[in-house]
Amino acid sequence: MNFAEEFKDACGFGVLAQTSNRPSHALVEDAIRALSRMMHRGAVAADGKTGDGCGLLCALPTAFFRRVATENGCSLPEQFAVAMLFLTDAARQLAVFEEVCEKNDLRLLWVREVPVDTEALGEYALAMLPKIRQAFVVPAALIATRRFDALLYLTRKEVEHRLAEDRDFYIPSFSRKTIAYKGLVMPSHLRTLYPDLQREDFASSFVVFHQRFSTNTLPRWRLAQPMRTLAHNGEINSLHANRFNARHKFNEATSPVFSDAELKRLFPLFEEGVSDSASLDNMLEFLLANGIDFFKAVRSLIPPPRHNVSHMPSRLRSFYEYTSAAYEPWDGPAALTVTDGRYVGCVLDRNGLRPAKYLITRDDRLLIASEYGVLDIPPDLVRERGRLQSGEMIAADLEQGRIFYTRDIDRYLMESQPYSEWLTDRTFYLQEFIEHQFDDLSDYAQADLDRYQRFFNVTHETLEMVVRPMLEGGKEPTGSMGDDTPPAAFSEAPRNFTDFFRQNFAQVTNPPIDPYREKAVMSTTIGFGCLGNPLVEGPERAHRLKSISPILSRDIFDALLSFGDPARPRFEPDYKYRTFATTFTADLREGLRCLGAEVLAAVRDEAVRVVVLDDRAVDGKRKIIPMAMAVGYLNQQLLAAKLRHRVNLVAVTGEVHDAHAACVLLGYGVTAIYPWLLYATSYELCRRRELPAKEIRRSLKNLYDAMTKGILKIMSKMGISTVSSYRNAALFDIVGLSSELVADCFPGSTLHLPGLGYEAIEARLARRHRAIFHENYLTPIYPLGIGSLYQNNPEGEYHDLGARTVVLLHQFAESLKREDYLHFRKYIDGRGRRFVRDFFTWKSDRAPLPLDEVEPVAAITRRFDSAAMSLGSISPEAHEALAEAMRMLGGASNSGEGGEAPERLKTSCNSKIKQVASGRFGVTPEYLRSAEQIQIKIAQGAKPGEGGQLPGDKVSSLIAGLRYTLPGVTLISPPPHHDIYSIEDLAQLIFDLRQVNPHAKISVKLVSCGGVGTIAAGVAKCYADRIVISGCEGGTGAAPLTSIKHAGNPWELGLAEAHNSLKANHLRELVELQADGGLKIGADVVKAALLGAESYGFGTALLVMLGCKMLRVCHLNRCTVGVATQDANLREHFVGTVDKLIAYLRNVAEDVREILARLGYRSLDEVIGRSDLLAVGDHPEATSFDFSQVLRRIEGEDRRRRPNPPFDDNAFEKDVLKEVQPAIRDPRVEVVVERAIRNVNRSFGALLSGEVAHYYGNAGLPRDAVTLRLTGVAGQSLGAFLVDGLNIHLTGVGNDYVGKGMHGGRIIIVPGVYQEGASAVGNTCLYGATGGKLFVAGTAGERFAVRNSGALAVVEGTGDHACEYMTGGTVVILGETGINFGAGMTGGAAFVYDRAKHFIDKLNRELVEARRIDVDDDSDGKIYLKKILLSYHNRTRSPKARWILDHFREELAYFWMVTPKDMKAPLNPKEGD
Amino acid sequence: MQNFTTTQRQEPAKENPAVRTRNFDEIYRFFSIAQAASQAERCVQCGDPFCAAVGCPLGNPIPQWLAAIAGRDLEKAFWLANETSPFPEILGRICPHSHLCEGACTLNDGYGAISIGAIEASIADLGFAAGLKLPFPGVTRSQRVAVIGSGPAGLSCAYFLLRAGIGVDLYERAAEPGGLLAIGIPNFKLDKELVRRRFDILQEAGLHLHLNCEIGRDVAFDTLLERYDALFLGLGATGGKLPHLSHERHGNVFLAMEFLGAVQRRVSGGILERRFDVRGKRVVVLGGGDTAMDCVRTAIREGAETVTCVYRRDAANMPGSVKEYHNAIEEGVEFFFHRAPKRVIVDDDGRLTGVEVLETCLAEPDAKGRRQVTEVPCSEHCVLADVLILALGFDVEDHPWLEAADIRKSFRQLEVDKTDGRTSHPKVFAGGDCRRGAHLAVTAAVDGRRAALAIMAQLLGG
Ligand SMILES: Cc1cc2nc3c(=O)[nH]c(=O)nc-3n(C[C@H](O)[C@H](O)[C@H](O)COP(=O)(O)OP(=O)(O)OC[C@H]3O[C@@H](n4cnc5c(N)ncnc54)[C@H](O)[C@@H]3O)c2cc1C
Ligand SMILES: Cc1cc2nc3c(=O)[nH]c(=O)nc-3n(C[C@H](O)[C@H](O)[C@H](O)COP(=O)(O)O)c2cc1C
Ligand code: SF4
Ligand code: SF4
Ligand code: F3S
Repeated sequence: MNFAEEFKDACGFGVLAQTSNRPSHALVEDAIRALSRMMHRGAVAADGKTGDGCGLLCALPTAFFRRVATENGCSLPEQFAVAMLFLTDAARQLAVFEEVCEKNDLRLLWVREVPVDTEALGEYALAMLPKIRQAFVVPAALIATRRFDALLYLTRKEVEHRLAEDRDFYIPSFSRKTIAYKGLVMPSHLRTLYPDLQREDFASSFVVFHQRFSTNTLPRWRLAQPMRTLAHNGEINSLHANRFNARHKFNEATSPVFSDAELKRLFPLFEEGVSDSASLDNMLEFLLANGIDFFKAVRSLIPPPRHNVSHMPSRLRSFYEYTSAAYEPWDGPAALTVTDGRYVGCVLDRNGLRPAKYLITRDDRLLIASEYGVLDIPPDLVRERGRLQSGEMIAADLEQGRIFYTRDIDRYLMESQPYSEWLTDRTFYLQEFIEHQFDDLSDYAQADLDRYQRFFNVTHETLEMVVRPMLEGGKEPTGSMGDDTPPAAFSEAPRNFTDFFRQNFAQVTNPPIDPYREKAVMSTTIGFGCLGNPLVEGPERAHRLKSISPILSRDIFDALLSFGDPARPRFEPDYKYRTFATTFTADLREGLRCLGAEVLAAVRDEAVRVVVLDDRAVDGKRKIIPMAMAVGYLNQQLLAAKLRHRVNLVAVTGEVHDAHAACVLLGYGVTAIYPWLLYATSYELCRRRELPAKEIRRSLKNLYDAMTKGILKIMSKMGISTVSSYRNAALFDIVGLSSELVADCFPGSTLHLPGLGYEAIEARLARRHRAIFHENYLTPIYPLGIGSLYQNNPEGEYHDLGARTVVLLHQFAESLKREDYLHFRKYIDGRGRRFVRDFFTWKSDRAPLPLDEVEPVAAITRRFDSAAMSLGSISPEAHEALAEAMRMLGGASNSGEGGEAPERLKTSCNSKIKQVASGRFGVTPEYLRSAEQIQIKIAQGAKPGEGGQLPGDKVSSLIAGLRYTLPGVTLISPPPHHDIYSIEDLAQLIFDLRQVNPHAKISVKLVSCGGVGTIAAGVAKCYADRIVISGCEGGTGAAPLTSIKHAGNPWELGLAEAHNSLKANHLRELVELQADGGLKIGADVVKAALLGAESYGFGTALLVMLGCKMLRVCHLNRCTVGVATQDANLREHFVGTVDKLIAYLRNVAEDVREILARLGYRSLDEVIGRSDLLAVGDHPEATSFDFSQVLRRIEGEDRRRRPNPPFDDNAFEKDVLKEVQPAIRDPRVEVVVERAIRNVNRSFGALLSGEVAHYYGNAGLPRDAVTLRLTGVAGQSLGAFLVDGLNIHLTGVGNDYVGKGMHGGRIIIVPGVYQEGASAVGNTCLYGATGGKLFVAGTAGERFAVRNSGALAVVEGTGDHACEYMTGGTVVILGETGINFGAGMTGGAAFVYDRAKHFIDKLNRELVEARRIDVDDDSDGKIYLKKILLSYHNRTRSPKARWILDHFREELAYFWMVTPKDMKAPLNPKEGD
Repeated sequence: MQNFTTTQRQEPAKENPAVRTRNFDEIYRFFSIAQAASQAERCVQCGDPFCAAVGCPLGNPIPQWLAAIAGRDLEKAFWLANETSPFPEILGRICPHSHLCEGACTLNDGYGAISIGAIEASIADLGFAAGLKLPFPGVTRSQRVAVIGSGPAGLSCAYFLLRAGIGVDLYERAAEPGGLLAIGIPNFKLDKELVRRRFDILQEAGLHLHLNCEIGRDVAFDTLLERYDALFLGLGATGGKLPHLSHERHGNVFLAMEFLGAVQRRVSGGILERRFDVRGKRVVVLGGGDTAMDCVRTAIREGAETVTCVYRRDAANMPGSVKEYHNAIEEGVEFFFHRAPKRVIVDDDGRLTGVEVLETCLAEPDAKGRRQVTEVPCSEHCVLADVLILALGFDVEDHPWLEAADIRKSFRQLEVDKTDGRTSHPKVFAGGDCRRGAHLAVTAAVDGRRAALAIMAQLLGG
């Protein structure tokens, strides 16, 4: 892998169109201006000049080209196309181009050398500069325009294929309608680079523009956007699945445009080595070229949510259900501007995770961009201002000069075909064919159950800790603390094959989803049936059998089979099934091959369409092929044989007892799973408890739901919302299987430590098989093994924090003698090869040094931090002990998520590191200001990609106070930061935080996973100072067991990757690296150092020193040693002391010194990144794995050398600060400041607030101390972290994140010209606000007031998910809201003015209820509301408010008051996950 | 679960001293399901169960059976309890819990440990009472094994072998099977019916029991070596240690085992040898271990006028189980701590009148935390006694035939491979007191189990 070339990207983008289709040069110039106004969304490369790429896609400027052509003595005919060419070997490549043109009846008229001014280029961009040419092409013979277009596309594809070898050869565009100008420059330099763009006659009626932010620093010319049909902001999470599916989807397609022969020539569809955006472009372009309608093409790739959305027209639903059969969503955060030359438009993903704002002017211009204010359009020229909501689309038809809104497009889509009719008599839900689910229990009564359970590793523990909670509670079990067992590859205990797979999760470049609160956008629906011809719509494509979950119950399974059995009346050939036994006797590899051959034959020759894989044949002779292996292998075989599109795979398996195992199978291609053993096991449990049949049915239903929910959860970690996009997405890292095996069965997954191949796996299978079927001498009395994966058990799996370890540490804690520490160290040292680092030994290039020449203990402990552990998950005693101890050691303690008592902030118990997590609990200006380092927690080793819950039981009055909520309320932290959906968002948050506290270092906490290097590079480019790589061993206060076990990688892997990737991108010298996860002794620290870490985080080990005994009941508030509990009595038993912590870490540091001496080095600084000082020990186990990737050392700086200052120094607000100083110096002074503001002035108010908080804390200044009068369009995060005494009055509009984290003060926003319903602020406003007032005379975007816990706000409408996770404060909405209102809202109140009477549909009723307030018994509500409205009107003069007040009596009837049903009940305070 | 904050630890109810000292019945009334459940519900269900991981030598699935009984699932609890332990109802009674499972229990610091032993015993008792049966395959294999000695070690070994369908011949020189469980540990601690029941179960399962058959005398060791595929030695350590004092073999000086044995035989229906009748006498017991406790409490029940226990260390440093010490006190035993015996005092006409002792004091704890005893010079004084019982530990008797089969010993104890319990003879395994010296029933059970598994592997492969 070449780290420098791995990347992910995002950006700022937009489109500017003249709807009346009058081309003009001004438009082009405006577009470029707009683009330069979003510079902060892009990134500048190391050379300070090179951008990550930007560009324009515009209507072909025919006049301009005619002129230059004639000037060059070439006259262009009526119909001509221009190819924009990036050449590396001009002569040869042009020759090929011409040759292919001629082959396709096209004539190359003239090749123009495009003038470029290299002044604009940074050295890197210049070095990479291709030869840029324009080829003018005309039809050789007279042909229809459509045919001409077809030939152009065909030609381009063929040329691409012919020149696939030339990595940097690229055709940005080849069309008679559009042309792309792009390059590796900053937007401001685009015109310089391409003088063409300055020519007066270079006119266009629309321009799609885009600026890229790439996580790596070696951007390539070809990767600059726009592509041929679109520009994309966001990231496609399901990319691998989409590419995989596209590879077989069209196997049997016939095209209305191309002959079959030509169609074949179009493949392969995807260009190699390109971004997700480029692949999406390839796909969309292919559909359009094949005559698929523009809107249908776009909407089938980026559909809105539909499954759980209540108010969608049924016929529209039908359209989407129909197309979903052939096209799974390209899932992930996406805002696309799309064009086919006639239509230009923009579409937003189902979650609305990227911003897209539009403006329609009175002179018929449509402007769509990531932000408002990218052009200075005077308010009176604005006809309409709005923004796209989740799943919406807007487009302009340049021929008709019309604008289509979502509703128009929807109407067109649903009326274009009788989809409902087609579906009604062809698509069936399998549920329809059964009476009650789980009526027939016969198949669950399994003979010889015990033996099967033992064989499939179902232990007592599985029963009690995994299955029972699902049966009884219908949900996944929760646990606490980290996973201290070895990875499957290194384990000696029996482990499931699926344990080799580590779940992927979203961090930074894309957000995870909340599968509970936002399930409205998710779906687990699966479908069986054949694809038909995806290029032509027709009733036959509606032949589907569906089910609501990939988990089958026996009856649903039978229903399916009944369609596939020729002997049955229902039989339909599309569902013909055959069962194949996935067992083998002798040779695993051979067994796999046979299975493959058998299946392929059956599909090819006997038209089998549903392939059922069944492992029940296992017996004394036959062993199982691990189901995942069988599935993965067949998936690849079928693809290679061009048969994949015909079949659905179904797994009947005993290996699936939890959602993780199920997801592994889905990830590699099964459509559905029948977990026979799980059912049998559950049924047996029910029978033991002598439940009546009805109860049993209910329990099994619970199980079924729990499994389905579990699957949602795992998908959501990766930000994927539909099973159809998750299937085949291979979203796992694999640790320790051989490259061959992975290539055969699991391509597309990142492989770490290549190791065990077929033979080794077979040996393991055989051992287990023998143990169960042949060497089972003892007649069991208790039928199952006890199991030891979760709970330590003397006989079973190794636990690094097992009783022995704990006892030894506690003995040391008693004596604090080095000799006792050494006992502990000896034990850990002697644990064998359990974790990655255990395989490494020292290999020095120097002679040992005398110990006293090595840097002192204090120099080392300075690098130790206590890992983030929130006050709330641990007790105040523990939290303070940590703070004090770390301070004395010169290291830093970490507050964790959830605030810190203000009294502490000034004392020695102040945590130097303050964490900002997705819940934003207790994140106030004073809190941030008190930090030496602010850590943005993106993910946590024990549960990456997930939010958390602090169980109500633990929310004592202290905790409640710190988190601005009420005692006993269960507190939810969302999975994503709602202001970080993409890399440029992180840059923005970092910018915000820097303003509040310019002195603090900013660190970002990531979790080890494949690709973390790429992400780390991106984070560095967001101007972070430190990156923490957290390992999967890491602890937690509460997390679902499957997450603790199966998500995230060991830190060694991630650290090495991050370190190298940063080096490759010349970013290492700008950021510091920290590792945490299971660190215990000096050797761990030094190994981390050699792999690239400058500092080291300790979590659990410190808790053990404070008395923790690994009881793992942290989440139950029952910690007997008072470490992880808030219970006063239990805290009495706290035995921890500061000295114990200090003594422990000093001893660790002493180890470090000893090792350094032994290596012959004087300080850690000398060895950081020196992976060459490590060697793989020569043990038999070691030889079976390849550690080279981890130990790999590449050229470059090995540690942080210089600061990482942002390119935006915020001079604007610094200047304002000068004027405000007097008020800060003397609170009696009142100051008024006036400014014009533009979208490039971001985070306005944060700097001032930080300054005020520095002296006055959260109390701030007197109410009216400072008034800030702004006019114009404010940049993102207006009024972020505002404190009392600061009052912002903006005449104009705001962008995203207005009032983010605000604690006090006032923000008033009044558009220059009031239009009812016009949008005035962007998405995610008031996120994590703890106080203050926000009045907006206009509507707000998605997720308004998410996690608000104190602010008072009035707006005139909102997007989806408003008031999500709200725990306090009051929100008044005088207009329409989006869907999923009040999800996860556990406190506060909202008033909604619902004249259209839609609201109730949009309310998420899980936790909240809506009441009318016109009734007499609710007078407080009334009065309160009226008060608010009056002051709102005073401040904004909103006509709407005026009108409501004038008719208050009548209008009151249209108000709803939304409050939590009950603060506690809905979220069971007993559990946290 | 996790009710430890609300429910207090409870010991099973005891018969009051006045009544119980008049007979040899068990003094504890174990739990009903309800009581057991409510005690079990105190359990934290530790992620890292110290009780099992470092407490119980057998590594019993304690949290698991606690959860089962807390859920009122007696059957499951009973099965779990019998899966790893060859006789939970016995060990639940006689293990020194305070040093083992309960000592290790997380809750033992400040909350009161889970009453694991009592719950274990209760689960087993209730299970049997409810008529639950233990599944045995019957003798299904051709191989046979001889076990010598029917104490916990032998019993345990036989139990696991039979579960694997391997036929076992058990040779016991005594008339009653059970080793010290039968004769030694007094009835008020362990009802002999329970021991008897275990043997009944095993006999049903195919055990051949040869009582009154001493190897080396009634049957030659070599014949066993020929006849069987493997042998297990659970010979115990019953040779009483002597303090080497003058008159230590005086008629009124008993070895603990002589005394306890004699009494036990009477209790189970035999008649008592005259000289062991302590009625109306002043009894002094030397030693502070479990054996000493059993002697003093037996003497009390036998109607001694006073019973005094003389020990070199103090209460805090007694090796035995705390519980037993308290029981003894309740039953009226006097304790003289910090005293070391010097000589037995016999008057001119040969009557035993007492024992002379020296005061002692304890040195600071050493590395292992054990405190050495030093004697205080010229602090001699006399403790009056008519009967002196020596409970000073045990040695392995030497069995000449062992050398013959060159089975190695070190300091009188059999040498075995710790991983599988094999002696220097490839076919012969050993465990229990005969390899550890006087130790515990539970460790004997561990040895028996380890050897059984090793024998299986050796005979059946794998
Ligand atoms: C008074 C007393 C109280 C005790 N209390 C407790 C207690 O409360 N808790 C506890 O855990 N432990 C207690 N112990 C210790 C425990 O009883 C022993 O550690 C345990 O019984 C050892 O078991 P074993 O099978 O190794 O030997 P034993 O139980 O001694 O069994 C050895 C058997 O082998 C037989 N034997 C010996 N040689 C031959 C031969 N040549 N042929 C045939 N058979 C032979 C003997 O007759 C005897 O039956 C106590 C011990 C004593 C003496
Ligand atoms: C009780 C507990 C609470 C934690 N809370 C947080 C938290 O609030 N935020 C966070 O980023 N990590 C949290 N973590 C994870 C730690 O910060 C750290 O990543 C991990 O524990 C380090 O691994 P180690 O415990 O093996 O040393 C928590 C860990 C524990 C044990
Ligand atoms: S066998 Fe003894 S130590 Fe083990 S659990 Fe039972 S009583 Fe406790
Ligand atoms: S140690 Fe105590 S509390 Fe913990 S599991 Fe064992 S018995 Fe229960
Ligand atoms: S694991 Fe948790 S419950 Fe207490 S003992 Fe340790 S903190």
